[in-house]
Amino acid sequence: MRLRWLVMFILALTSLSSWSHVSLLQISDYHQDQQLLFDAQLELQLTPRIIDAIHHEIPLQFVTHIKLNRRDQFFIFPYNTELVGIDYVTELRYSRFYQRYTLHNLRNGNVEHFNQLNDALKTLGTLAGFRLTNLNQMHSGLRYHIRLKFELSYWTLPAPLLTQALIHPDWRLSSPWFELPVQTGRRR
Amino acid sequence: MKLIKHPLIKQYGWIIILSALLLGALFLMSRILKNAPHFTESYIALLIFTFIGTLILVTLLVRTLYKLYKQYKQGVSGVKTTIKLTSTLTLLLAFPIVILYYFAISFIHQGIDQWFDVRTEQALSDASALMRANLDHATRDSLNMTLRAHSQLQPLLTQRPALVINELRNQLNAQEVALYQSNGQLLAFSNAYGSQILPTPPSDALFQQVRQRLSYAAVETLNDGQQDIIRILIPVNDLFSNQAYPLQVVFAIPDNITRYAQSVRLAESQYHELNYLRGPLKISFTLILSMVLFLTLVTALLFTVQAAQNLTRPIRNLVQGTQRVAQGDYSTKMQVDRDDEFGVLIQSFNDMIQQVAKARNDIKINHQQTEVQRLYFQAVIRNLTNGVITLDMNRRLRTINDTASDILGVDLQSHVGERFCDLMDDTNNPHLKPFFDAVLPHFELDVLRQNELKPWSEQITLQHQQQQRIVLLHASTLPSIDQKVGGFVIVLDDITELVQAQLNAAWSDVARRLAHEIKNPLTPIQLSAERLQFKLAAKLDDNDADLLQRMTRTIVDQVETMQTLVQAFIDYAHTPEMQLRLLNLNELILDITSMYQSPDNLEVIHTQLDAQCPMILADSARLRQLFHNLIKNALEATENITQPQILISTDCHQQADKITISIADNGPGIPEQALNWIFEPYATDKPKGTGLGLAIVKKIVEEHNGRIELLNPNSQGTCFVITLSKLNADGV
Repeated sequence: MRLRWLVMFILALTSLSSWSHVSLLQISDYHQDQQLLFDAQLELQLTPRIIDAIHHEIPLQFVTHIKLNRRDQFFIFPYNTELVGIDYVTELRYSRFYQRYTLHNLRNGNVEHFNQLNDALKTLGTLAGFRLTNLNQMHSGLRYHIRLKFELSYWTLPAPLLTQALIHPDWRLSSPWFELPVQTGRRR
Repeated sequence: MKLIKHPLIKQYGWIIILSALLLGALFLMSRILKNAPHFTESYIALLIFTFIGTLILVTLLVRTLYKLYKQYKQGVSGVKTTIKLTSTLTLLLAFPIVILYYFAISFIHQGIDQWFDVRTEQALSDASALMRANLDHATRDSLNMTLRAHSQLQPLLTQRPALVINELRNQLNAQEVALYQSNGQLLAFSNAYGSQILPTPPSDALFQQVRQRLSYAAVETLNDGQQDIIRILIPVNDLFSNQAYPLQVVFAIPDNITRYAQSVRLAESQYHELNYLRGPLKISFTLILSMVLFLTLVTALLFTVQAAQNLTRPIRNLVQGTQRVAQGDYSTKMQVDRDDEFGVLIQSFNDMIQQVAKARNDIKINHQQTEVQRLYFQAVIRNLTNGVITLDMNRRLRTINDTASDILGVDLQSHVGERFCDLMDDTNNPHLKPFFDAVLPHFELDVLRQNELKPWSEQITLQHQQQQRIVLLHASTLPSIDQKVGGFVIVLDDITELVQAQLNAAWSDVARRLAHEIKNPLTPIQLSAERLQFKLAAKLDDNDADLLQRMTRTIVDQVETMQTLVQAFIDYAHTPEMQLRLLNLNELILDITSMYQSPDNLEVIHTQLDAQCPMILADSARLRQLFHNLIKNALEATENITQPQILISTDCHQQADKITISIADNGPGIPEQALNWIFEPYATDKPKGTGLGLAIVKKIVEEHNGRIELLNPNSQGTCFVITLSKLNADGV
C-alpha cells in the first residue's frame, strides 16, 4: 500500500496540468425523506490519446470519490471528520462490433449503451439524486462539506499502457476536490 | 546457518538472490504484457521493485568499483590483475550480450509487427462485417415479422391482449412477447419457457422512444455476453385511447450464431486493442529487455569482479607473502585453504620459504662461524709482531695489521680495497719504492707461473723519517677454491734491531779483543820508552838527546792516545751491571753542567729544566757519562761559533709516561748522510776522537730502556732527544 501511495503521490505531482480536463458544471444538495442527497454534473474532456484508446476497445475505468466531512476544531486547530466515504468505479468501453459505447457501474451493476461518446461521457459525469446519509446523522449548527473528485484509474489500464500512462501527461485525467458546503436545517 | 556462512554464499549469494528475484519480476512483467490481465495491478509494483533492485545492484557495483579504485590507489597487490581480468571478461561477456540484445529487440519489434498482418486485419473486419450484416438482417426480418403480425392482430392486441399474446409469440416464433402500457406497466406477456419467468422490461429511454411512436430493433447481449437476443420494441396504437402501447418481442439468436458472433467480436476487439497497444508493447518489451540487459551486465560485472578477486586472492596472498619474505620475514606461512593448483602453489611456496629460511639460518650460522674465525685470525694477525699484508688476485689490499703499517710507515688501513700499486704512485710514499721494487716483480703472472707459486723471501732497507729500517719480506700465494691463486700474503719482519744488536755484539767483540790485545802491551811500551829516555838521555849529545826525547815523547803520547782509545773501547764493550738508584735528573744535569761552566763560557751552557720531573731509577754513573759525552760533543761542535749556545732541557709533560731530555747546540749540525751511522761505533768525522762517544751514549740509553734520536738535522745546530720511561721513577 505504501508503494501505491508513493506512486500516487508522484502521479499527483505530474497530473496537476490535467485538472482542467474535468470541470464542475453544477453541484447541489437537497433533502428528501430525511435523507441528504446531491446532484452534480461534471464535464469531462478526454484527450485524443484517451479517445483513441477507447475507440481501440481499451476499457477504461473511472473512479468517483464522494465524501461527506464534518469540520471540527480542537482548540485553534481545525480538522475534518469523514462521515461518509464512497468510491465507486464506472467502466467505459467501446464495441466496434456493436458500434456502441457501454457504461458499466461496477458498484450497482447498471449497464447502459450509447451510440455517441459524448452521451456516454455526459452520463458518466452526471450524479443525480445521490443519497449520502440520513439527516439524523447530522447536527444543526455544524459545518459539513460534500467533497467530490473524479479521476481515471491508471491501475486498471492494460500493462503496456500503464508504463506509458506513468510517463505521458495525456493520461492524467483527474479532477481536484470539488467542495460543497452543507448546513443542516436549511435547504440550499 | 552453516550454509549461509559458506564463502560462496557470502560472496555470491545475495547477488544471485537479488538477480533471480529481479529476473523473476521481469519475467512476470513480460507475461503480464503478453496476456495476463489478472496481474496487471502488480505490474507497477514489479516495475518499481525491478528499479529498486537494479538500483541496489548498481549501488553494489559502484561500491565494488570504488573499492577496487581505492585498492588500486593504495597499490594493493592483485588489484591490477583483478581489473584486467574483470575488464577482459566483461568485454567478452558484454559484446555477445549486446549483440543478442540488438537482435532480440529487432525480433521482438518484428514479431509484434507481424501480429498485425494486413490480411488478418482484413479477414477479421470482413468476418465482423459479415456477422453484423447477418445480425442486422435477422433484426430487420424480426422487425418486419413483428410489424406484419402487429398489423394482423392490432385490434385484438389492445382489446384482449391476454388472448392473442401467446398466439403472437407462436406466430413469430419468439422467445418472449410482452405488452406494456405507455407508463411501462406490464399488460400481458408470453414466454417460451413458461409464465413463471417475467419479461425483462426495456429501459426508460426505450419506453420514451416508443411513446414517441418510434420503433426499436437491436441485437442485445444478456447474461454478461453469454446470450444474444434481438429486442424489438414497437408502438401498438390504441384507437380508442389514442395511446401507444409498447410491444416488446425478444427473439433468441441461435447459440451457434451467438458463439460465432462473440468469437468474432472478441477477436476483433482483442485485435484492435493489441493494435493500439503495439507501440506501448514495443516500448514495454524494449524496457524489459533493456532492464534484463542492464541487469545481466551489472550482475555479470559483479560476478566477474568477485570471481576475479577470488581468482587473484591466492596471488595476492602470494605477493604479500613474497613481500614479507623480501623484507626478511622468513616465518611467513600462508594458509592452504584450496585444493586446486593455487593450493599446490601456496604449499610449494610455504615449503620453499621453509627451505630458504633453513638455508638462510645455516648460512647465518656459517657466516657467524666464519666471522668468528675471521675475528680470531684478525686478532692473531693484529697481535703479531710481524707485519702481515694480504692481497686479492687483483692486487687489492684486503687485510693489514698495524705492525705492517708501522713497519712501512703508512696507514694502510685507510687504503683497504685500493689497488696495491696505487700506493706506489702516491707521492707521499716515496720511501716505499724499495718495498714495491722487491714485491711487485714476484706478483707478475709470468713470474707466478715460472716460480710455480713458491714462497720467496727478500731483505730490504727502508729509509723513512730519518730512520733506517731493515725489513725481511716473506711472501706467498693464498689458496683458492675455484682458482689456482686466491691472493697473496706478505709478511714483513722488522729486523733492524736484530741487525743492530748483531752489529753491536760484533763491535763489542772487537772492542774486547782490542782491549785485550792492545791495552796490555801499551804499558810496557810506554815504560820502555820512558826507560830509554831515562837511560840514554845523559849519554847522548844534545842533538841526539833532543831527538831521543822527542821520539820517546811521541811514543808516550801515542801510547797514551791508544790507551785512551782502548779505554773507550773498553767502556763501549764493557757492560757493567747497572747500579740503579733513585736520582733527581735535574740535579744530575745541573751538577754536570756546572763542571763545564768557567768564567770564560758562562753564557754557553743553559738549562731549562722541568721542575715537575719526578725522581727516576737510573744508574747515575752511566748517565753522567752520557751527559758528558753529549755536552763534550756539543762544545766541540760549537768551537768555531762566535756565540756558542748549548741548551739542556727536560720535559715531563710532552708524553704522559716519558721524560724527554734534549741537548741542543747551534753548531753546524750533522749532515743528512751521516744520520745512518751517527750512532754506530767508530763513526766520527772529527780528526780527534774515538768515534765511540755517541755509540756509548746510545748504548747507555738503551740500557735504560730509553730512546735517542736526532731532530731537525737540516736546520741550524744539532738536537739530541733522549726519552726515558717514567717507569724507572716507580722503580719498576
